[in-house]
Amino acid sequence: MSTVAIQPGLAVRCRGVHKWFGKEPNRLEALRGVDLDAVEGEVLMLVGPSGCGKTTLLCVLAGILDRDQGTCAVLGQDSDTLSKTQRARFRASSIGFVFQQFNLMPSMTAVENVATQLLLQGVALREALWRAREALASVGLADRADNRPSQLSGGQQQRVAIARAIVHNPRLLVCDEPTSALDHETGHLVMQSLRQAARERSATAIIVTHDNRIFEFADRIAFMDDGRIVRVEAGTATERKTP
Amino acid sequence: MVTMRRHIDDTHCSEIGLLFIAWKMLSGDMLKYVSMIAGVAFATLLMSQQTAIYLGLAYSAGAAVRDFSGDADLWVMDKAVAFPDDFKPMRSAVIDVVRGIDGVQWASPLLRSSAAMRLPDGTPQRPTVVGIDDATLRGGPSVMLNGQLADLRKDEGIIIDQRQAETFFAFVDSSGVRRSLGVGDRVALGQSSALVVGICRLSEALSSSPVVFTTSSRFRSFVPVEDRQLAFVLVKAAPGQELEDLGARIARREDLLARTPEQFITRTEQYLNESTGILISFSIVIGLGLVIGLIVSGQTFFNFVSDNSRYFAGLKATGMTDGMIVRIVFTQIGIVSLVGYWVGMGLTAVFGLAIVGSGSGFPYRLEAGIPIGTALGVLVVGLIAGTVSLWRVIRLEPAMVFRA
Repeated sequence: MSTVAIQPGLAVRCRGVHKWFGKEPNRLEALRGVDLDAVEGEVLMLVGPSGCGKTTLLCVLAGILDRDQGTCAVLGQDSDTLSKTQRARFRASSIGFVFQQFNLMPSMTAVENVATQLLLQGVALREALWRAREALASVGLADRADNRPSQLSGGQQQRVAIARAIVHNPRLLVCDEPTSALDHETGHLVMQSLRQAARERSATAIIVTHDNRIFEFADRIAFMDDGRIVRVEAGTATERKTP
Repeated sequence: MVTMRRHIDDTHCSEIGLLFIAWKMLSGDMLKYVSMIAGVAFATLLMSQQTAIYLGLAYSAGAAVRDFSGDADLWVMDKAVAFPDDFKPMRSAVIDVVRGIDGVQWASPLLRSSAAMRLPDGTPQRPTVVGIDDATLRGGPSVMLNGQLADLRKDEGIIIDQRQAETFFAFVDSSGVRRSLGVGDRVALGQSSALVVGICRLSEALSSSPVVFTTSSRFRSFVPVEDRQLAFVLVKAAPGQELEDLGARIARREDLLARTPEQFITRTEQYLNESTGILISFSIVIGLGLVIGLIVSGQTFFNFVSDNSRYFAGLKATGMTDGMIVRIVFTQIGIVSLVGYWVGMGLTAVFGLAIVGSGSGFPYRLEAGIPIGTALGVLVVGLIAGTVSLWRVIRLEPAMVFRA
């Protein structure tokens, strides 16, 4: 497994990242030379119109999709140099995921859903369930730990998903439209939980969104269009991190 | 970095953890879970129960050989005889010829033929009448429930089987009550009267024809002249005599067939398998059980995996390796197969107990090899169903979880 030299304080450093889907002549170029840095501990939002490549970039950063060109170091790892299994284990140990549709298993309770992330790393069941309860408590859901997703509101389900994303203390959180399925007030609560969880763990959070109501939680906002980052602006979050 | 790298390489899901995830996913859709178990249970039931019935039939085909052999070492018969009920007449002088062959300690005739019978209430029957040696009573039933074998020597004496007494020979007595034929009852057999002097127990036989035992001398009074045939000769070899050699000598002398009881049973089972199509019929049903089990449980498991593809994709995205997925999928199909198998075997056992309890004499032999063979069949079903479903999960693109 190779590591990549990365500037101290940077969690992510990508240069000239390209990603294509399909083959010529119907090839779609989803990323057209993305350059992106993410500072350790910052909340970085990727915003832009639908189809601009935000989610593709998130997948490339998380090592779920291979890039076709360019360099990308995440937490000091170049995912292209890792085997499929190593990449999966890297994600399991170092990255937390929050999905737009929560992706909670309906047959599991909230605490079981959260514990699953720890079980993937070989944590014993009893300890995993105990740590999952703590993670749920940290997002204000201690009293709903034994409820199934169907018994929770959308906002509560997303907070369970956040607990699942942070329970293993990852250094990077990748979030795909975490508030798009929620109303404004609930989205605010969810973002507060997410930012607080990231701050407490000094984790970097990269959030794909086109919900401008949550921009206030960003340290920086990277605007994407047509597969490129066209500009990066400082956010309005109170505890700002600087590169 | 070194610390983190070691952490990455060493992380793996414990078996308990995988079992937990697998079970939670599986039990989340109870309808599919029950459907899969039902599929495997049905396949198990069909495979094991049909095999048990087949083995019961095969075993019962040789019932007469087991019941009549006593301590005889060889059955002598016409070359064309394929099974015990397939009696083909031999010359009556054969008995004397066989007795004269070197190495024969004793030889007893076994006469078999059918005769018309009328029960006390006039109900007609046509049993097989078996005439055994008057002097030695060899070839008679070995288990007597009422009376003794020696009672056959009483005037007009016959012995019948208990189960057949309750079924074939049941009649309405003078008081209007339907009851079994029993000791002391008289029937008309051939042109004579016969008295039931004993009740025996015979093995469950493949033949549906009832049997009446009598002595060789009385056999002649019950059976028409033209049907008074020597069907078999039971032979006891002299001490130290090789049965193969003796059998070969008897066969050469009279152009007959001499077989040990075990060989005769094997010959009967071979006839059953090769000439009746019974083996093919049962094989088809057992094969269908396997295929139906595969289709029902395999299809349902595939649907289960498809329905859970979003969650599998989520697990892959968050760090589940292909190795873990293989273990989860096979843990799930393993649980289904194991539960389905035991449910199916339980039903097979219950079916068997019900058959035995009914006293119907339906042949059913749940031998030790059946659960093992059925388990192999279920294993095949599970492996195929698991592999096909696994192929789908392994090919899942984890990025799909990001699509709304």
